[in-house]
Amino acid sequence: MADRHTRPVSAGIGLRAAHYGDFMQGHPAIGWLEVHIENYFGAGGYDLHVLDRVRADYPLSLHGVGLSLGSADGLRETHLQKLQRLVERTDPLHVSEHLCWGAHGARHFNDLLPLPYTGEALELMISRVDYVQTVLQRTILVENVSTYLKYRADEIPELEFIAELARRTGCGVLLDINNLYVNAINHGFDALHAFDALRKETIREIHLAGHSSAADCLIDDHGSRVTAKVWDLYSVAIQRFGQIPTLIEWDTDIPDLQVLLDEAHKADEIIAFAHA
Amino acid sequence: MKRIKPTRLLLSRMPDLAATQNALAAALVDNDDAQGAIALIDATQDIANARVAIYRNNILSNARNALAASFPIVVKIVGAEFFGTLARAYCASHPSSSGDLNEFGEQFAEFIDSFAHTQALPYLADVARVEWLTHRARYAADHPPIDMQAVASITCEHYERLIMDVHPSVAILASRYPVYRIWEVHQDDYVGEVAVDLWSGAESVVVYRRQFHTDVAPLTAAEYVLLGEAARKQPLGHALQLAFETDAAFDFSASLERWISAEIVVGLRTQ
Repeated sequence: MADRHTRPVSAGIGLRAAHYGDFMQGHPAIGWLEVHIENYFGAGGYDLHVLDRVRADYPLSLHGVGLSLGSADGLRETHLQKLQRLVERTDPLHVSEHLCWGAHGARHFNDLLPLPYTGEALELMISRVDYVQTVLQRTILVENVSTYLKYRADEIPELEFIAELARRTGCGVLLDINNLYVNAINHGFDALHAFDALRKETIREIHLAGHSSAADCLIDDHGSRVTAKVWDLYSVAIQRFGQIPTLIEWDTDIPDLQVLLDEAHKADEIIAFAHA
Repeated sequence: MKRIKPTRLLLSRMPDLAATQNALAAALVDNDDAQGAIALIDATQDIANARVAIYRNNILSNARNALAASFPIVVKIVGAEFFGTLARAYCASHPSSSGDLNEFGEQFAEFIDSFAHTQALPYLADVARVEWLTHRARYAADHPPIDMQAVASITCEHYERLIMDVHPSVAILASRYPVYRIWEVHQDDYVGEVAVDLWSGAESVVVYRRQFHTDVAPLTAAEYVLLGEAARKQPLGHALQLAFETDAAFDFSASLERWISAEIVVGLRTQ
């Protein structure tokens, strides 16, 4: 099994079922892989078989989209138990979730819904992240999400909120540069200035993906190449925060693996250039 | 926090987190119940409505895509547009309750049975049942094939008390409609006559996974009875008796040979 303690500085990609064949029949040159945990919650079958196979050859990161850390009415324990089982099975490089909520009562929206950035929400997130880290017996990373609305009740800028969460819980920050850019456009703030809130040593991973444009805002659909503006912002982040493991995500209209490898190569070049 | 806004002073009048999530959840479920959420959003009413609609559409589209991935034959039969209508109505009556969208769809067949606009397609619910069992089979636990050496060591006089173990992925379904034939003609690699006589009679199927490949096979009435008893861990003597009552000419050894090679039967053991 590839050692999870050797932190890869090269770029990785999100492994999707469309590319299973590439990884089962060959050994694509990529630094590491990340998967959505919910696709591996089964008792057995091909998905877990592929996961075990790639885990033997690549550092692996587990990324959740359904834990709903920020639901005011409680954490869904069965979801956390399934994550725990997967963490034990794969001994991953990182375990990450989002700064958001998605479940409400008996219903799950299966989406990354925005939290109001208030002191109350911060205290809730701190207690949830503490709890998850205790159950999993490891630190997790928390990712900033893209949002299409902000609340009148907001008191704390998003990245300050996540920086404070990291300071209070010891969790790491998964900085999604595309989400930050989308939010800067959608809500009219300066993304570069937002970086000031973050402490270099808390940023353990970066995400990059494509977005699209709607009538009056940007939509984070992970369905295209990373845009030039997001690459620019990424270059600044790498110069400022160092050689951070970077992931290319693609979730809609998934292209050939080579397109993702090309994007990852571009991230590698930026990392190499900044730290030559 | 460093930069405390003057609005802090008004905080006692701000809704708490639970109230905020209640209001947004209501707006996401029902377009007509958005006023509470709109009032909380820092934008003009029009923009706030449009932004809530982005989430509403994302949620519906995620749910529809998950359903379409689990029910590809239902999509082929009704077409993508009507499937969208089905998905929307299913989301409204049976909303997702899990953070794992792979679980969404468990009640889709029952929903189709009761939905007013699918009554003209009475076989559709059974097609959905076969697809849901196939979806479940994909994630079922692994199991090695039968150990033939262990089987060879079983002496004949014990056969009545034998237990026949089926693979964890195995599920059976009896339909009033030719459900295997409908399934077969909608496979991507199917060649031949595509017309199905919907009144050609009842058919039963077994859904299973051999290694990593899920598949569906037709069952005779006697086979359906036997596999059902086996899945309930009933002794072979009792199961065979019921199977022969269904069909006196049932050829057990031929069925068993097929099921062993398909890894439907993965063990034969004394209790």
